[in-house]
Amino acid sequence: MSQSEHRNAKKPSFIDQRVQIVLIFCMAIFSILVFRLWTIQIFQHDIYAKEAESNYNRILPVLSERGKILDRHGRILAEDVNFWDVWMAVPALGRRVITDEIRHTLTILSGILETPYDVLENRYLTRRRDSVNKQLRVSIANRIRFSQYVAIQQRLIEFAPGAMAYTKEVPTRRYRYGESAAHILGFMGEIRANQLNLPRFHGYKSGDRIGQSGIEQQYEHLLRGKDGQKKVIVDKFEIQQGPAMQIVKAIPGNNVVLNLDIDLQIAAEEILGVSPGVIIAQDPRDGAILAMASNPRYDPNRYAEYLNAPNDPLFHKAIRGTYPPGSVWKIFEIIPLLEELKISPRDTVFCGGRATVYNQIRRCHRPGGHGHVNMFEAICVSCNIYFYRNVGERLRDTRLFTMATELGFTAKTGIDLPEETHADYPTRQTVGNWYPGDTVNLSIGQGYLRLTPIQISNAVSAVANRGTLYQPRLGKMGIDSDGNVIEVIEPVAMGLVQASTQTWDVVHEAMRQVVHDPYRGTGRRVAEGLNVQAAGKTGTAQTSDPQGRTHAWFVVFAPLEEPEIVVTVLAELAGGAGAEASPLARDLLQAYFGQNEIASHPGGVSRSG
Amino acid sequence: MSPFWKYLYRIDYILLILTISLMVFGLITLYGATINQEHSPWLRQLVWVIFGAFCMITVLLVDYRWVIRYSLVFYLFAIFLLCLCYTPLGASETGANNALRWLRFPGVPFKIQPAEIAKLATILYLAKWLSARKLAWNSLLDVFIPLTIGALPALLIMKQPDLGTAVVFAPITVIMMFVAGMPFSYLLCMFTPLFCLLGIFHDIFYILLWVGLMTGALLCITWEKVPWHVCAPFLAAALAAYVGVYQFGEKFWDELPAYKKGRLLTFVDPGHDPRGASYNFLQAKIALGSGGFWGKGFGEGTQSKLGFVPEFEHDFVFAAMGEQMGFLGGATLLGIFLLLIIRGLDTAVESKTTQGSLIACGIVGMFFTHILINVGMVTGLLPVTGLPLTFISYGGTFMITNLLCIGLLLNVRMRSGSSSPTDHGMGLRSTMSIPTKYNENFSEF
Repeated sequence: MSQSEHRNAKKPSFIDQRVQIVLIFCMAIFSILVFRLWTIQIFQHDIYAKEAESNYNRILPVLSERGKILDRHGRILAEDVNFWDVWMAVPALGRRVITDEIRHTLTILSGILETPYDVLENRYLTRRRDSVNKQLRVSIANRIRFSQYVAIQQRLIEFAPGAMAYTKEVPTRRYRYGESAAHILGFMGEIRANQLNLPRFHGYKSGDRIGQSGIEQQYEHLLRGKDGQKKVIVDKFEIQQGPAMQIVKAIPGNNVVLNLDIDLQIAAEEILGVSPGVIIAQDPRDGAILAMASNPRYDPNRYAEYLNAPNDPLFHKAIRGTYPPGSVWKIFEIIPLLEELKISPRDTVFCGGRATVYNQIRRCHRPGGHGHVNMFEAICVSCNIYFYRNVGERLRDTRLFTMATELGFTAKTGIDLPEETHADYPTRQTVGNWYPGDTVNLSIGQGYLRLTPIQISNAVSAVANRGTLYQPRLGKMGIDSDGNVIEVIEPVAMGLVQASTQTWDVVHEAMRQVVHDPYRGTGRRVAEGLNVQAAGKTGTAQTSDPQGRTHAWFVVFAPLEEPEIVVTVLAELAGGAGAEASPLARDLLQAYFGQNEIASHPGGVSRSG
Repeated sequence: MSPFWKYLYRIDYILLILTISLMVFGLITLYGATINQEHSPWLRQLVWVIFGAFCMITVLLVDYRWVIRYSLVFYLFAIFLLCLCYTPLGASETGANNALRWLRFPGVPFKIQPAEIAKLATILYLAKWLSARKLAWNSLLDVFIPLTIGALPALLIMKQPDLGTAVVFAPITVIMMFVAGMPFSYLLCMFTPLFCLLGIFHDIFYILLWVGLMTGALLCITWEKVPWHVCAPFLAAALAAYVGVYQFGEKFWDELPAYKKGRLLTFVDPGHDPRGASYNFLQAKIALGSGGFWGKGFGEGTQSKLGFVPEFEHDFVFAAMGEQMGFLGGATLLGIFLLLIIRGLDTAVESKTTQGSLIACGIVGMFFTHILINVGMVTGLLPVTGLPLTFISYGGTFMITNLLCIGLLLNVRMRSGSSSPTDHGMGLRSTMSIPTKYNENFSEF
């Protein structure tokens, strides 16, 4: 045994006591640890269990598909398509430093998105951060295509968790026909703060897309689907683990079928070209709108670009624009002349080109005058003197008001579009100082009188169907995603114009002559090349335009015996109605009756019914 | 020296069983927490366990007194390895503040952590130094030399920087000195500089508290009749530190690195920054708390599996374990640890030599510090300092060092002589009696 071993063999006794002190100390510390463990794991278990669950449990919305908008033949006008936004995780410590992981992710993304790397890095560094669930993210790219989305999904595994890329589904409304029927279909937008408080938006939440105009807004209740919910387990980097659990199924919205015929709509828009104006085609048998073109137009896919355009393309002239109807007004006036004053259509009035009415000299549009004109001739040549005498002096404005009410000129037509404007019909009460001259002006559809094109179209429909005033209808029915009809939008008859058959015969005959009198008819151009009998009326409305330009109106229905379409044309500031408006109406009638090349669209142009 | 096999029948089965059960516990926890990972570290850990077992058996072959004799060589070798960390051989792990904690030798497929080896070497050399002479504890050198032995590797490690591991050297050194007979007053004196932290608060209450504590220490010194000149440097340092903190504490605080600031703040206010500095701590606590009494079940720990608990195989392994196995598992684990410590201290008592006792106490002190700091950190009792949990955390050098320590404990007990193979009692041999006057004990030298 070595010396040191010998010496160390002896151990002082206090060592054992010191060891015992150490032991007591250790046991005391251990009891503190166990007590602490007990506190956390038993007493505070509920709190921590909840926090742990909120770490990995995510209740995410399952976006429902909004219903499609279809035309009367089932062609899709508006539908939901998906795009994707790309997001990237931002480390909690900030994004000042571009690490290798982030550079790697951005490089892959720049390849897929075909965007230069510098652009993406700049976006990563500068775009506003957003908190998604519990994670900070920054938007890298918006509206990427499906193929790019798939490419990113395939390469997700290559991204480092701290520099993960995420894709977010962004449902987007697509309007297949672009500018066609733009005003009718409307557009979508995020729900506004003041809308959220409205009772009809109960159940909506901030950020929801809703229809903000047109059919999208009108039939929001049908189109909107019901969002579902799913439960997802995520890891620290918000990457989904395993399959999602469906809690609430997403219910797609219902499709809305319109009365609109998109072929006719396109035809109307082509006929209108680029000049401002309105063409409405309506079915007089139930008030259904077949086409409603309004210029200038916009593309609802990119409606935001048009918000500040100088000519205000978002303005829906057909239902919001108010115009003096001019001579179109005359066809409505002869109804009370026949019914109330019992004027015989054969009674004549002498037109010498000028006449003194209420001590004022009034002129007809033909300087030489029309000579002795009866009612048919007065409509056919659109003689003003006839109406100065019979309406201005005899019928007067008060009895005209009855007719205007019956034909719906004193109220909104009630078309199923939210934007419709109320055109104020002038009365002695609303105008205040009413002079006899105002009555005279009113008798030829001038003066204070302003009407919307849809009011005129609807009234002409009532004339065409001999008295029944329908509400103009764009919506036909709502069908669910499986094709079952869930709501039929019935035609609504608002009133019946009390007039005898003879009266209607006179009105129809007078309007027929406008078109079919080959020498004098102001609308004789319509008859050229049209193989059905039609009845119409021109209107050249004077405006306050400094250059003295006039609005050109033409209304026409066909066929004469059993009218199935009413066409209303307004060519704004275009000049004389016979030359400028009636050819447009004829072109549309030809398109409708399948007589020209516009009709040879694939899918065909329908005959309604 | 007797042949090895003569002692083999005396091997301490209780310690062996405790060790094996701890390692099984650790392997199960690792496996469960990484059940869905592609490269689960548990298999590698198993390799380390087997390798460590061979090392342990090797240690059994030589008498611990022989090991003590060459402990200075080990100690210097460990210091040399620590210095190597600052050469190009030093390796860091990404994300760990670029600390050079590892050594990577060309051609060797694994990294080694010299800090772990240094711990063992320091224990051995301290045991040699504290037992090599009669310590009267009446000279300044008696206190400062062992403190220097402990502080030298600690400083080298702190420089890496690895504060957690460096801290471990303090309790090891102090416990070994205490067991070697250091008077209580010196222990108290060593703690007095820590009171300086009170200087942060410029409030009359805290000033009075400091004065009170210092007065208590002075009274204790007077009562124990220890030489003043040994205590004086500590007390002077305490005073200087207090004044320094009082005066410059705030300025120092401002210049502290952000992550250290965050950790300290997290300790004071655990929820102060749930996204940043206190995120790790908070998530570990959530993992532990959500385990409940029974735990979420094997491999069902959402916090660790889904990555919310960071470094769950190293520093936060106790959280991952508590999540899967609940309070039941946590308390059982702590129980086994306590049994291990009791058995280790019993070895110290059983040992016939001062060296053996000191080795056992040093090893127990190391285990205890690791357990306390790790579990204390996860349960929010102590600041967040990364320190692995003995036998449970993943780490090759750490596992081998721990098994070497167990080997040394077995070695000491095997050669303590009196312990018979049938004596499996857990209790300490002598009865508990704390001497009132230590001066009597000193006379025994």
